[in-house]
Amino acid sequence: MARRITEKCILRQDDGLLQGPGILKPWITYICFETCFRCFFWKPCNCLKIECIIEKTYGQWWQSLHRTMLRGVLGKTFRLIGYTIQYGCIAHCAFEYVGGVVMCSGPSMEPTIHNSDIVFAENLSRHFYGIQRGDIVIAKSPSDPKSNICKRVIGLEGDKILSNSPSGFFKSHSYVPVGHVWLEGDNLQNSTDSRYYGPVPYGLIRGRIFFKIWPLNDFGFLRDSPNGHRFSDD
Amino acid sequence: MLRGVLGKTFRLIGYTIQYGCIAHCAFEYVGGVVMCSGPSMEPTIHNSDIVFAENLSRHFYGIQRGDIVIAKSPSDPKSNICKRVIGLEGDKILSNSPSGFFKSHSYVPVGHVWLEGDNLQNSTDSRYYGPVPYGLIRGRIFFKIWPLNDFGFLRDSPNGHRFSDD
Repeated sequence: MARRITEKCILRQDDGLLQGPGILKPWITYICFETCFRCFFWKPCNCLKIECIIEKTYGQWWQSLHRTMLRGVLGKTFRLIGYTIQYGCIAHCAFEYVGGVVMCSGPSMEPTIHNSDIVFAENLSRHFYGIQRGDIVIAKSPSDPKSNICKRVIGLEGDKILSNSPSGFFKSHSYVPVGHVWLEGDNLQNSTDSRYYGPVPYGLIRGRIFFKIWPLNDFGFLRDSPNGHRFSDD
Repeated sequence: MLRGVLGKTFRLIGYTIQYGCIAHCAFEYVGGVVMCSGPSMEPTIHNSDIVFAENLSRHFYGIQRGDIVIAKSPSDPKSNICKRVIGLEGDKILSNSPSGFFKSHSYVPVGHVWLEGDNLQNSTDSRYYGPVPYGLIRGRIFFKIWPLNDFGFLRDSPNGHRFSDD
């Protein structure tokens, strides 16, 4: 898009010759010498006494002055920050709504997931309320909101959970309250889970683990629980 | 021709996803406007009031006693509740029995908070479903913008005597 140069705008080349009125070319950056921090691109300057200098014909000297202009540096910085925020937000939403790669630590899910295994977690099931019995989920820890736990869903709301007393003399049972799930690790002897802190609200669940990618000798979908007898909802 | 339309469609979808993600992150990490419903926080917040909620306190673990918070409901993960924080982890909560004959107390477990509505007679809160894990808290309400006759920062709790941490 070309703009017309008015009589007030004087184009000057380095050999001193005046040129124009004419047409401002859009592919050339013009600098208004007297208001050099305002008219930075090829917008026509509305100031009364200006000297528009064609940057291209002045060559290297004007280009280096152009680069050190404060507004150019600021503009580049803001653009970088803008791109960082943009792609950071998109990445965050992708991790939160679709899924991502997670590294689990701790012995509470052996032999299904060992310490330092890397797994894929997907977060779609949580948002569509599709978590089922036997799923391995990542949840925020009820006792420590800064850390996550990785357990298997043993019971959904309304299920009866049998709690074995150590003496085996009497077994008591309780029901999982509405909006909660009962989580247990596969390694029952070495896992703090719902047997310790009670049923976990569904709102703390963050995602579902469904695929292991490291170590490679255990690559693939995750096995069912070794404690299969625990799934009872009678 | 088809390619132009497809290109425009994809560009539109791309921009929508981009700005949707930015808006979502802004709402989740900074804050937003929320409309509260229900009578459980009267007289501080009435039904259909519009308030500002900020989410920075939650991420920096700066929620304090007396703050009004929005949290996911422990009994219904699809809905949010809006209550005041009465006790943090380790606080002693006095629970009054109906007969008044004996008072028992309990301690708020680690990683949990005790929430109560300001309208004690008409509020299902921690007295009903127990302490709420901190991870369910989504934001802190600090400013009311509608109705205009009640514009401004929110008042302290009318049940001031409940804040005890001895």
